Amino acid sequence: MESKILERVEYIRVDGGARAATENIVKETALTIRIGGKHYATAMILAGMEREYIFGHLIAQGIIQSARDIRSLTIRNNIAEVALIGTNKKHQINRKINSKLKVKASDIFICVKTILKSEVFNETEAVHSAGLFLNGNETLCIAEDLGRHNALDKVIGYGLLHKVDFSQTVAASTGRQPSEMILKCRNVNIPIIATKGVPTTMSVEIAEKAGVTIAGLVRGKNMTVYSHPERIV
Amino acid sequence: MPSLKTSRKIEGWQYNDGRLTPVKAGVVIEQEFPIYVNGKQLVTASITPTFLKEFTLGYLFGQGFINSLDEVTSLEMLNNTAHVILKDRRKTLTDATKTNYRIVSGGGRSAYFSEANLPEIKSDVVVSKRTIFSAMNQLFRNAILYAETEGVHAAGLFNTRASLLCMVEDIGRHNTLDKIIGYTLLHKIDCNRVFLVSTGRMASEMVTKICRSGIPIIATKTAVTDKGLETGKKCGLTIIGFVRTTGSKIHTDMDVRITKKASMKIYCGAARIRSA
Repeated sequence: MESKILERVEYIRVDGGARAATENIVKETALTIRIGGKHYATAMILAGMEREYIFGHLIAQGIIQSARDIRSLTIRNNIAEVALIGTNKKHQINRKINSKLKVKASDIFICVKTILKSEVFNETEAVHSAGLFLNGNETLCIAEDLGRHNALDKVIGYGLLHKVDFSQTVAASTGRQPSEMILKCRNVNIPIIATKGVPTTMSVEIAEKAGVTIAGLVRGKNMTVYSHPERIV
Repeated sequence: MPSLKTSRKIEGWQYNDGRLTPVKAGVVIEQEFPIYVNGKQLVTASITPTFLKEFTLGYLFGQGFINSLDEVTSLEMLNNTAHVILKDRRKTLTDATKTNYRIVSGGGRSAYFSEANLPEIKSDVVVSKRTIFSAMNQLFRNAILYAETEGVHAAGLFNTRASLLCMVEDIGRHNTLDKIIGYTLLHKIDCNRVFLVSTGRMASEMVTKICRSGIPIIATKTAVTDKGLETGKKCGLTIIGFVRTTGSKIHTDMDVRITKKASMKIYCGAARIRSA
């Protein structure tokens, strides 16, 4: 069967000499999202978990507030038709983390290590992963995508569809964390994000204000906490 | 132009040996940068604040909103905002039938002009594999912001003798290309005679930008996607991935892998690469 995420291609390997070889590379899928019949955006994603991706993306961007705001979602031929529950009241985006979660540093290391075990990455070195962990020690969901934003949207969507209490979760990511990644966590009330990569000035500012803990450069036995270290014990 | 800061030391906490201790951490600067075209806001980019003029022009060109510098009457920077006036003053680029939004793998929503057609690259440039390795080495040697923050992508423009023409670092890999392509427009560089080196994955949008610019060769440290490859083949671009020079380091979970023997993978357009 043809894979939805890998494609076999020919290339020329150049080192000492040059020779023809084949390998798998990742496939991009264009997923068109239409809301109420109107084009909202076309996302370039790694196929899989499309439902989760759409729910996660819409809540992370503040388009919806809960899974119930989506009346229906049908996906056919990579075109997603979303119908929202009509409402007149303006959405209130969560601006402050409300959580008493504290997590052991040793668990943070395990969270990041857990999402790094990716078969697709081992084969292609071209995908990002994200994970959602209850109390920092129970794996709820791991997702992969071409983009770290998309991978995070997928695990957030999983949480939404499975009624996960985000205030008790740790999100893990393989990538750098610019402002939009932190905003996604803030918007759904995820108190801790752990990453192998680093944040930016803007993301640290947002995290400080909103109460998000950023643990970066989580590698081996070391990490750097950029904001709200009180959650790591 | 005043020199713009690209990183800042912030107060963080380092965890080792079971304890958190205060530490100063170098963090890359991310800034919101709105672009107005003919008085209407087109997009707000998240970028590292360098090469703002280049970025603006490169973005408009790469997304298909302009085809050349001649279509731009003026470009002004006010309070970290770009104000662009086009020759066609009625063009606001927000016409719903022509503008679309795409969520790109580098993150964010990106506006693009859907009628943009990609030209075929006709350059007869040929470079040696040594030139490619040399360019990649120079990119890493000059990546100062990466050394400070570990949080940026880099891209460099080289001539066929492996001399560096322009190098940029930014939080986004798309931004690095926009800045370089804007640089070629502003400085009237013949894109047919140069090549690009990047640290980023070559997904479809990245390759589309390069093909639009006419630059014939892209060499990246990392991978290409199926759609990136498809677009590259269609336009006659040379795509080289996984350029690993001797001694280059790859971070894995626990340790650092060091490349012993230089290698690269040519995915398409191999005729432009000489093996000597």
